[in-house]
Amino acid sequence: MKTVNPIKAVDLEIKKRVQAVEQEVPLELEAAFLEKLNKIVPEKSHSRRHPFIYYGVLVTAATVLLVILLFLYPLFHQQINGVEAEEVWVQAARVEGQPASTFIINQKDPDITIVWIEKINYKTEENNEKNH
Amino acid sequence: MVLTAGNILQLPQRAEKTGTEARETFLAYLLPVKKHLYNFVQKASNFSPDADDIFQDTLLKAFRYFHSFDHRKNFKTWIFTIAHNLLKDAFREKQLRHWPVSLEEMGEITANAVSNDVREIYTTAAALKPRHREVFFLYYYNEFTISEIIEITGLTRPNVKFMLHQARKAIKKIMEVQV
Repeated sequence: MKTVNPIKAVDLEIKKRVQAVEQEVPLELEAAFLEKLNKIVPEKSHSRRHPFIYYGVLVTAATVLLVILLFLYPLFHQQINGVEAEEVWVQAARVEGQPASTFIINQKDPDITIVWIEKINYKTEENNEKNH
Repeated sequence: MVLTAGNILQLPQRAEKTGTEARETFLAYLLPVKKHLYNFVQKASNFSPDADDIFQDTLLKAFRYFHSFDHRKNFKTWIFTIAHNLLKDAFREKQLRHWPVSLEEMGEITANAVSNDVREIYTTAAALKPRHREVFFLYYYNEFTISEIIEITGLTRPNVKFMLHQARKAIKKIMEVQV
């Protein structure tokens, strides 16, 4: 024999009693509503973007902004550091046919760059002589 | 095209129309739920004289924002959510008065129902807190599922279950006394 869940039985009984009371929408209320409805202009639907399009636009905008920043960064960077930080490259130097080390001495005047050239084994030979 | 509840399934996925066509579409959607919505507002507001205004405001607001309704979703749940929000506002602002339940005014009673039993149920429901009463009628009168009630009211599942349990307990007590 099938047993009825007591909660379901109570629920059914409550539903039966609650649904016993029901009334139609009064005609005058309905007429008033229809009259108002005719005066209302529904709001135009706003174009709803698909999430994919929405995020796509966001990502594109972010990328464009990033690229612009990357282009602008070196300009700002140079302006901040000024001419003093301009790099000087000395590829190679030779003294008396021998390779020499180069050292760039910092100068505040941007028009002058002093490069110190030193024979590689210069100090070592001098030391050797002293030792002998 | 005259829209009826019969050809409602042939409606477009999203109402982009304005004017007469939009009105017809809206009324076709409204037709099957209008009576249930009206009775819900009446019952949830304790048959307050403000209920008619709340009902009308619900319909007008629903029509105004009909464009935002996703036609793949349940229209009944959507319009009941609007009604719930308006009821909540009304309770907050006006503190709807409690009116004694008059079954004669409420409408006809089916032959199977015993008047006193029904009266007891409605008296118990009237004593519930507004939010509890709403959940009570959404479940027992409109026969929404718990998930749908959650969607309408924004309450959590344990909250809805607790409210129904409280109401059931109170009514069960009355029913046992009657037996």
